[in-house]
Amino acid sequence: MPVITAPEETAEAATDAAVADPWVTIVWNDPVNLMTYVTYVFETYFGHPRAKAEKLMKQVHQEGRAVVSTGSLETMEVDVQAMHGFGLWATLQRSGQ
Amino acid sequence: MKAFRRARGAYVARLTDDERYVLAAAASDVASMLDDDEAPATDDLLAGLAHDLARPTPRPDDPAVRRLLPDASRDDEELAAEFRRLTQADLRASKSAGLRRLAAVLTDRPGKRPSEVVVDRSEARALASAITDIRLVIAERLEIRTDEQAEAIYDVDAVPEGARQLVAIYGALSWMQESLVTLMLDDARAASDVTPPDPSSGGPSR
Repeated sequence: MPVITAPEETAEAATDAAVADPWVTIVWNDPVNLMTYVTYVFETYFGHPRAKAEKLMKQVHQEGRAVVSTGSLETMEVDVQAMHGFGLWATLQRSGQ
Repeated sequence: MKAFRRARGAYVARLTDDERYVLAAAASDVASMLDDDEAPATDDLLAGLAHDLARPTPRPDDPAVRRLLPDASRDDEELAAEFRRLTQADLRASKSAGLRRLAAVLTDRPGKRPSEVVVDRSEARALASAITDIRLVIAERLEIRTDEQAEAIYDVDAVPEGARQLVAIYGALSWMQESLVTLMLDDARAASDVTPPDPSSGGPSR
């Protein structure tokens, strides 16, 4: 028996397949979180090497934001939830916006 | 207050009784803010569950609670609302549990000395996150919005009398967190730094 999907879900799935990493997680600068802590989160949660974690942390601090992960909407929701768990200010948005 | 150091497989700081109780009270207060903000429970579990699943999860009214449970999208309200519906109850519960555990750790006395606060390594991440949550709430109450304002709160003359205790708690938590996370980060790096031995080398003496 075929699985019936709603039209908009089919459209969404087609768009997802067309772009490799259609969503991004962004971490925003805030005046509270310590640089050590942000680096700790980037290294231990995302598994980024030290140099990359420190670069992203500095980017957040100096430029106000950094893209910390890319992937499907579902994966980014997991990452944003984890960032909120750590107390980092994170949002998700479509890649390239 | 003495900074965290490694001792007996844990992270250990030393606090006075006053410091312990003030910081533990702050942790409990923030946990209560998260709990109180929650929608009232209904007696009928199933009806309550069905109701919860169907209705949208509201954005918290208190800006400090909203800082702990922020919007997941800046421009897409529908996406932010859907994210709240999926995650807010879990985040609220895990944050509240972490804060209550922090309050317990701050008042426990398992160490050799009565002044010791002992953080087990397995709990360090959750407790560091709980410290962040208290700092975020205090920063919101002190209206710290910029890096410059975060620095300025330590200027005693500029801080109103009524805000001085909050500033003192904020400073103590910042200092505690920095010392704890520095150790956690060092240990995480040491654990990931274990490179496989080079088979061409002579042995472990290298």
